[in-house]
Amino acid sequence: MKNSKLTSYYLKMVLFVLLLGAFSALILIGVDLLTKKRIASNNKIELYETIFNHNNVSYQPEEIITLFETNSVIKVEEFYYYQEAFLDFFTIYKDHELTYFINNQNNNVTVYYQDNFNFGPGGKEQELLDVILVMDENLTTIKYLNVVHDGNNDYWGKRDLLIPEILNTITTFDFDNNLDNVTGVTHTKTSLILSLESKGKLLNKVGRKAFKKITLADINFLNENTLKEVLTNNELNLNKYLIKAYRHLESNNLSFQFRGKGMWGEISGILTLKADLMTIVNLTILEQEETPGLGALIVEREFLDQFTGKTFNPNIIINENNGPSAVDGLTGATNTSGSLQIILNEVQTLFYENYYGKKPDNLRDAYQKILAAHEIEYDEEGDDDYLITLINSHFISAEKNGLKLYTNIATNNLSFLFSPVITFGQFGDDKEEIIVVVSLEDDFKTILDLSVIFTDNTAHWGKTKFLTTKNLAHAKGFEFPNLSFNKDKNENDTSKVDNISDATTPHTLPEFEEKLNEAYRNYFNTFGGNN
Amino acid sequence: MKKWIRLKYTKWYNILKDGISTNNPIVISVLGICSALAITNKVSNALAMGIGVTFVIIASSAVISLLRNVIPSKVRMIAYMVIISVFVIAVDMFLQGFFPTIAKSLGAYVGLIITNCIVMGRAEAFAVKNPLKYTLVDGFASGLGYTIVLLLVASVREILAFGTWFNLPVMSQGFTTWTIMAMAPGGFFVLGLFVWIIRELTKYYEEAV
Repeated sequence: MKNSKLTSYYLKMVLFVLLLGAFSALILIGVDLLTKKRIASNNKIELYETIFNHNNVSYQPEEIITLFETNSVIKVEEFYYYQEAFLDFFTIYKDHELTYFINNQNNNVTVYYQDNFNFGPGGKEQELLDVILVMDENLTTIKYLNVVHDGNNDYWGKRDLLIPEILNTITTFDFDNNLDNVTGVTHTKTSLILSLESKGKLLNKVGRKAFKKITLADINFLNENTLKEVLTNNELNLNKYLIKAYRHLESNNLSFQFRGKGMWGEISGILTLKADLMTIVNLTILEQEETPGLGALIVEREFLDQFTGKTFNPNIIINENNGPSAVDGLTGATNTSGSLQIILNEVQTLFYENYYGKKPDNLRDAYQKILAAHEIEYDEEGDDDYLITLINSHFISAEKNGLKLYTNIATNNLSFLFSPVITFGQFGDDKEEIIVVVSLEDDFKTILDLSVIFTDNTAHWGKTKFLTTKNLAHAKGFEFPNLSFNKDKNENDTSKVDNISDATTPHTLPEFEEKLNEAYRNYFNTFGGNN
Repeated sequence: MKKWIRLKYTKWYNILKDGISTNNPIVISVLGICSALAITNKVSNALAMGIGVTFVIIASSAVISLLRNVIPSKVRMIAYMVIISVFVIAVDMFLQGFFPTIAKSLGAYVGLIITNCIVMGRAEAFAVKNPLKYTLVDGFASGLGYTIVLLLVASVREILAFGTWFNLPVMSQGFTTWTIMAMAPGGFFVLGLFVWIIRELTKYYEEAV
């Protein structure tokens, strides 16, 4: 009797929980259905309103959607963010000869390589071309093949063989059947078949086990068109990476929405730039979850109005005294200000590079550091041209293998700069490109001066404690090739710099040491130690 | 006159008094401190949070009171949580859909209401044992008690931290703002002092265990 009572009690309890769950779910689904459309349209109106306000367009509240969507005032421009998409969709592997991109969704293997192709009568003309090859996961079926060339019709090989209609018929590594009916392009055909056969054999030989995973830095050799080609031929849905920009037809201002990681949650907003994509017209924050009363003050007009007229040169800096690129930060919200700075600089770089190509490097600071290291006086107010002229009059610059070495004409002392990506942050989760300026004495190993330039001023210990001007100044007089920043300094060891920093920077320090020594070795090997 | 004297003995008057003064959620029960510290740096924030919390306490207490004979005691806490969450989420979506400007100014606070212990506390201490009409009064009283304390603390903090009250400038031009008042430590100081003063004035002392 007692037992059955208990059972019915538990049954009732379960029933109650289920009913409550079902009711709650129903209510929430109902409210969601009721408000979903309105929330979406509110967000859309908010976006349109902000863009209109940024461009000083006058409008009636009720006609805002029609006014915007007829494209009479604002034109929508679209493009894909291939780089980002690429890293999301592919895992990249490399062995000593080939680079493979493995599609994370269907395991198709894309191979990218360069090979010589013969053209013209007798196959006398030779060209190095990019080859993109998409295969299934067993590396047997060819799904897509493209040989990128200039399409010059004078060469029959380019006109009759290396065209999509023919290349699309190649589906296996057994070429004879596929290409039998293509005639008159003997030499190009031979080079194509040789190229593919050798790669095919190589692929079968190494198999997928030999693949070694590599990272983003290693795919920098791929240009935008190759990325685009690989992506579009892997049947991927790229909608997520479609980026919209809103062009005001009258002023040519460009507005776009941005999103990024704030201190607690996502920060999103709209940034309007002048047609040069360097000068800020206006900035509005739409959504944020920062600390109420501190970081959340980024939505206040008083803070945002400071941005109007500032330029990305090359970056905006928040938390600094006024200047053409500097904006006052928010008191008590250093992290939020820092996050916003990173978001704005990233999004501006993205749009700038999409429209105008690579952003100009800011070598101004680097030039000044070189001049200071060689004790050459210069005018700090002087413009870029002035600095370049001054550098050219005091230094001979030699360029080899993409490396550039400055030699002081008077003293024979040397300088070079390089930009490694260094890890920062407590957990090593922040990566950033910095510029390192190294000046050496004429023996090519003793340090004359060592300095570092940051593009971003987020306060990480790696920057504030280790890579400081004061700490780096201790490197003066020490010697490469195996420079180390070690605390337990041996009196007679000229390669161990006395690191006076009391902070541990487990990510920044070893990486900086490694990259610095590596760069030195590159320069030393390239320029042979004698100039 | 007689009517007013009799007022003191009505149940709803006592509930109201209990919520606002004798059992004030912040000063006496010390509940909902996290949100009180976080949002009391501006009076407008405090007011928005106060209204939001009051509404959620009234609504969820009402539902719990109606269901009080149905909820099995073993799962009552989870039931409260579900009911409160449903209300908070529904309110959030409703505001975003129909009153986008208000939703914007409330920001993350609406979501924070779920974690406010006062809502849970009233459900367990009052709503589950009392009929609907008294529950409504109790919810209103607790919400009001919470809002009043929030507003007072926020007034002190905003005036010292920003030199304004309800975003209107009140201090003279040369006033140096106290940044610490805008930050969490300022909240601790003011709220701590406030609780102390009120307890001293009302002669409320917790008995040592």
